[in-house]
Amino acid sequence: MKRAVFHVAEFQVLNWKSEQPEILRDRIREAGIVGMGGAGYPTHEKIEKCLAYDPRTVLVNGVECEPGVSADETLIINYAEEILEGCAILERCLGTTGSHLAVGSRFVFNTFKELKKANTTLTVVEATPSSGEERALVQSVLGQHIDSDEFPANKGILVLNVATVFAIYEAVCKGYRPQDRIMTVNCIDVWVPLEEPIECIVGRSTQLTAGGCYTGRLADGQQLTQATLNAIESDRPPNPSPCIRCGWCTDVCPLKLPVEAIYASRENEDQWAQFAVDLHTCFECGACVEACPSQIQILDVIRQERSSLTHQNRAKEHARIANERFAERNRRLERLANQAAERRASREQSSRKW
Amino acid sequence: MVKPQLTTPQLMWLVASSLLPGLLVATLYFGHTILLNCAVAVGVCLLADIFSTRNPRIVSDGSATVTGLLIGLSLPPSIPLHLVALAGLAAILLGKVVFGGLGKNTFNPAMVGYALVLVAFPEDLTHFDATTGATALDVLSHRGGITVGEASRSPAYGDFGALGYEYVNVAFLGTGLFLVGFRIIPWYLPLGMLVGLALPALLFYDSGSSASLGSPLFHLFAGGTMLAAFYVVTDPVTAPRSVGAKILFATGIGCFTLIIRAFGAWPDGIAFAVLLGNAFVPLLDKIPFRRRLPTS
Repeated sequence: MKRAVFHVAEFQVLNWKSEQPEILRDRIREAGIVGMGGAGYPTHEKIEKCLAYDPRTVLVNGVECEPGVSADETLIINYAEEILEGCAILERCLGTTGSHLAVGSRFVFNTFKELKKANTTLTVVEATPSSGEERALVQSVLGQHIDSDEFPANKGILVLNVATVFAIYEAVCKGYRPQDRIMTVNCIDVWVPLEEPIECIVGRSTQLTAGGCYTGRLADGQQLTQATLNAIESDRPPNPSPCIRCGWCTDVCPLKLPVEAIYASRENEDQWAQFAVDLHTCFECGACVEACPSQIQILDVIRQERSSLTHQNRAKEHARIANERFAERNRRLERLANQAAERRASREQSSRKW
Repeated sequence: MVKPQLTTPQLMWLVASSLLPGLLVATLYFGHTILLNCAVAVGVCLLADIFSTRNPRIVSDGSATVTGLLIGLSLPPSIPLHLVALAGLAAILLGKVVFGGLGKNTFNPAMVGYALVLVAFPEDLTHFDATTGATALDVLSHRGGITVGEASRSPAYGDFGALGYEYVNVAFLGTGLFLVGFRIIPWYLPLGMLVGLALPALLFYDSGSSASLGSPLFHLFAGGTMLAAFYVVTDPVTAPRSVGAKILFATGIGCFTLIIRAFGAWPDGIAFAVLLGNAFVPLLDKIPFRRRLPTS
């Protein structure tokens, strides 16, 4: 595949088999590598967090969550050896032996089987819209349950996207800083330069979507491509039909959230509050959008409700703080007035000095 | 488990076309008037929808067609055409538009239209033309002192249900099972309604005394039972949200149907049973049926 950017080695090429793990970790930090699966968490911090909690294993996430996006799969098929080498680098960073690589399809699995190395265990995970989420992946590959308020790194499991692992390989073995990534641009996988306005890549449109057609957000043409973005679409499904309450969104939700009820309460702010927990649990897999026969962008509604809820909570918090400060001020003024009265009374009672 | 990736209009057209085999069987038994009724009802529904939304493209969403077909199939074949048109008009305007259009209606539009005509012009609906005579449900309802066994020997009865209606019902059962098989409609709604109708009928069935309610088999294959079970109760817009509430809703409609058939003034009370069930939906939605909290 043709790269989008001509890379120049910015760093010295390291021979990772002989270098110290600290030097490898410094390289990952210097190259500014962030998680390319979507969250954009700095990778060196994740590694350090993992080291602090007794590192156990590396889990490389090659499961494509979203229907219509195949950027990770293309990367794995074209750069399989590099990714396996990246796994080995990470093992050395953490000082563990053995890593896991989860892929979403049998086809990719067969690609790897030919050049399989001893340390990396390969697993095929059924590619459902939710199976690529890191907690679900740890559950299905390693069989360990992780609560929604904890991170895999807290259990010593380093979960990284394949694109991140590839970037780590390039930073260490080639001395490159990440400057491009594979994206699914209107269903075709290509290398796309980072920090480039979206409309320079797909052309002008009023319906640009940053992200896949189910989970993406409506984007401005001037928005820049980022390492965390894995797809660009130049048009969204227009004119949704009205909701007919078929409930398929609720049926497909991997977290069993009452999606239809949440959507039905979209115009009623009072009702959002009862769904606050659900709204914050949703990890935006897009299964509901895919299932919807009326082609409603349910995720847009959920995101909007969530942000309004956050704003409401913030406003409530501000009001509470202001109220407390006001009460404190009143108490202080009262106290000062009392002290002044006491002083005056004591002065009046004491005999005159002159 | 792969869900069919169909859009809402495609779903509506699929449901509408799956009504056609039943319509064909009904035409064979009741004559071409039922075809005419369906055509008038669909035409009026489409026109009413276009005029109320001022958008001719609304025709493509198929929901008005389904409503019109349901009205044409549920009204008796001998009814005057202006009443069919009135039912269609009432279905769209009073059943759907006043609530804010597709997806917002509380009551099933087709049943609203049917019930309105049934209440306003009872003599036109319950009295059938001289050639076919009274329907079997009519005989059951107004049988006086005769036993159900005697009543079932009246010419209005067929092999196992009501004459003619039994095979129409079999046709709707077939196409309905097709829709269930392709996961267009959930299986528990029709099953709930049929069980809600047949189980009490079985419990109170005493092989046909004069106080009996009629055999369960007769109830399943008389009137519009299958049409209602597979095409009316399963309307997602007017059904409650959770699975438990849906089962309660469907079973309740089945029970109401039996009660109205056995004790009510109208021979077939499915329309009223459905409307009654629809009225309970906001209440059923309030019941917290095992709201599973996220575990991961």
